[in-house]
Amino acid sequence: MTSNKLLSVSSLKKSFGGLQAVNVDSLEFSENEITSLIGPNGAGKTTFFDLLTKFQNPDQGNIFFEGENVTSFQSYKLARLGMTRTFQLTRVFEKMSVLENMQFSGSSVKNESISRSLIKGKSLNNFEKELEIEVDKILELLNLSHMKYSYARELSGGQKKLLELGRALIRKPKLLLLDEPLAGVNPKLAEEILDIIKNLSIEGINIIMVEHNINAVMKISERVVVMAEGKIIADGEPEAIRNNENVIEAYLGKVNE
Amino acid sequence: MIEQLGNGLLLGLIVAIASVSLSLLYGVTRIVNFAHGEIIALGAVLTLFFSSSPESSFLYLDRFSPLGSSFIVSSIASILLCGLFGALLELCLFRPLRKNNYGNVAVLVITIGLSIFLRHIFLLFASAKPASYALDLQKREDYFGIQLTPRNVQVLIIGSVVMILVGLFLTYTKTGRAMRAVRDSSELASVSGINSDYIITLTWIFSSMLAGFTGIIQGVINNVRWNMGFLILLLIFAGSILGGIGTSFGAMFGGFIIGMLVQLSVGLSFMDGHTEAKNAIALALMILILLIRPQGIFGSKERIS
Repeated sequence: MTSNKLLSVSSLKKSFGGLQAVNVDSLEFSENEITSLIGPNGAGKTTFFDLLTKFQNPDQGNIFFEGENVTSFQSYKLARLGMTRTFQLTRVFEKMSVLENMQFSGSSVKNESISRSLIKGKSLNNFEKELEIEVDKILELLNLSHMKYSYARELSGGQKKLLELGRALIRKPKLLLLDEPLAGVNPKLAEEILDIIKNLSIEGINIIMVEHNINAVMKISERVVVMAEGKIIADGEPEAIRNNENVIEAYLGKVNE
Repeated sequence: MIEQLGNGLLLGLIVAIASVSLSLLYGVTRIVNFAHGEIIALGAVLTLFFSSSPESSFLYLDRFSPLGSSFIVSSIASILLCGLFGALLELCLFRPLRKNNYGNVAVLVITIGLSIFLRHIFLLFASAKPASYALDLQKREDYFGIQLTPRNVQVLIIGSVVMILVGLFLTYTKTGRAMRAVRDSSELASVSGINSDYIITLTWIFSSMLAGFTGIIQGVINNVRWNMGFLILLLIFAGSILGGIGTSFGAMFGGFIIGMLVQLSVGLSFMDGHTEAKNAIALALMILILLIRPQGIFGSKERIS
């Protein structure tokens, strides 16, 4: 089975002991969409991300990325194909400077061989200069310019989130999976982050995000997928989801009615 | 004390290079490798094997000298073989362990077992008596008030150049950067497109080659023993911890300080006739420094958030 969709999965299953953590029959994501994945805690959202990015191997099922069966690919190969993710607990390279973090994301894929790394050609030097100009622009956008030469571990939690998105901005993956981009972030910063996510989408990066801030989800998403107990229980436009009886019962609660 | 300065520089250099290799390996693989000392000894023993004179009683085997027994050629061959050995350890032992999610403690115990195993393999093929390379004896001369043989000076220069090259490699090359990335967060590295298995294998090779190099210079300065790596292992751990675990420059610095202190303490008057206890003062100082700076001299406090 191939598909011209960006990403599709079929009968994807993963269980831990007796618990069926993920059991998704079929799900497709098309291009140019911001899709949100919501659901109660323990619904299997992060596990689903882990399966897609191969931090865990599925018990069965297939994953297709741009029509290619990538079920057996390791994380780094998927990253090279243009599918990358963030983590619930924000991760940056703590022992590198902000600049290095950005440079790393901008160039790591292009050359890894030792010989090429030892002998820097002229084109590589030019590439790095252009890269730094690009980095400066993005850091300006993220309000991180003053931290350019600081170690990433010196950043606050919110700044790390911004740097994480900055890494995505410079990397320009085809598909970016965001795991709770707004967790533990103040309302003002949350607004900024939402703007950046929108920007990413405009730049042609497809986004699937797990998020609990339901107002943000409804505001930004073009499509909302709801998971509960490992299964997809609803899938559609934000408005339809907001009024879906199953979703209200399983996740949203009566307050949002 | 001043007469020990030359020896202090030499031991400091040895411990510094070895600490960098141990600390890099720990940083990237999270393995506390007790067998690192044996890789150091392997470098020294192989060089002796390739280059020693036929009368040498160190190896029961007949001298193996397809390389014409040149010391330099033998050293290079040994360093390359140490790299190969590191690669084999990763591919045949540590990678399968990692894929099966063995705990850190289990792996630690395995490296202790490996260390004992390798050490006794050396003992099996060599006598327990120390041996020396077939290099001509040199007298100590005075260099700016420091007593060293010309060969010691060469070792100091070559060793320092190697350390600088290692520093440049880690800081400026893509591969060095990838090693630091995996050391920092292997998950983030892999979603950035880095094949961490490949980088870990390279780290094993690189670290083992450095360890082998350390063993060779240790053999040049002192002599070659079957348990030479084990004897110096504690100092290497001390150096890495003192500098700050997982920081290369810290390990370099910490290792140098530890080696220097150990040798200088030999010169203290109350140590007269008790040189066997020379490690005591250096390690006591290490504990003292760590009480004041738990993260090591160059380690940094992590933000907890």
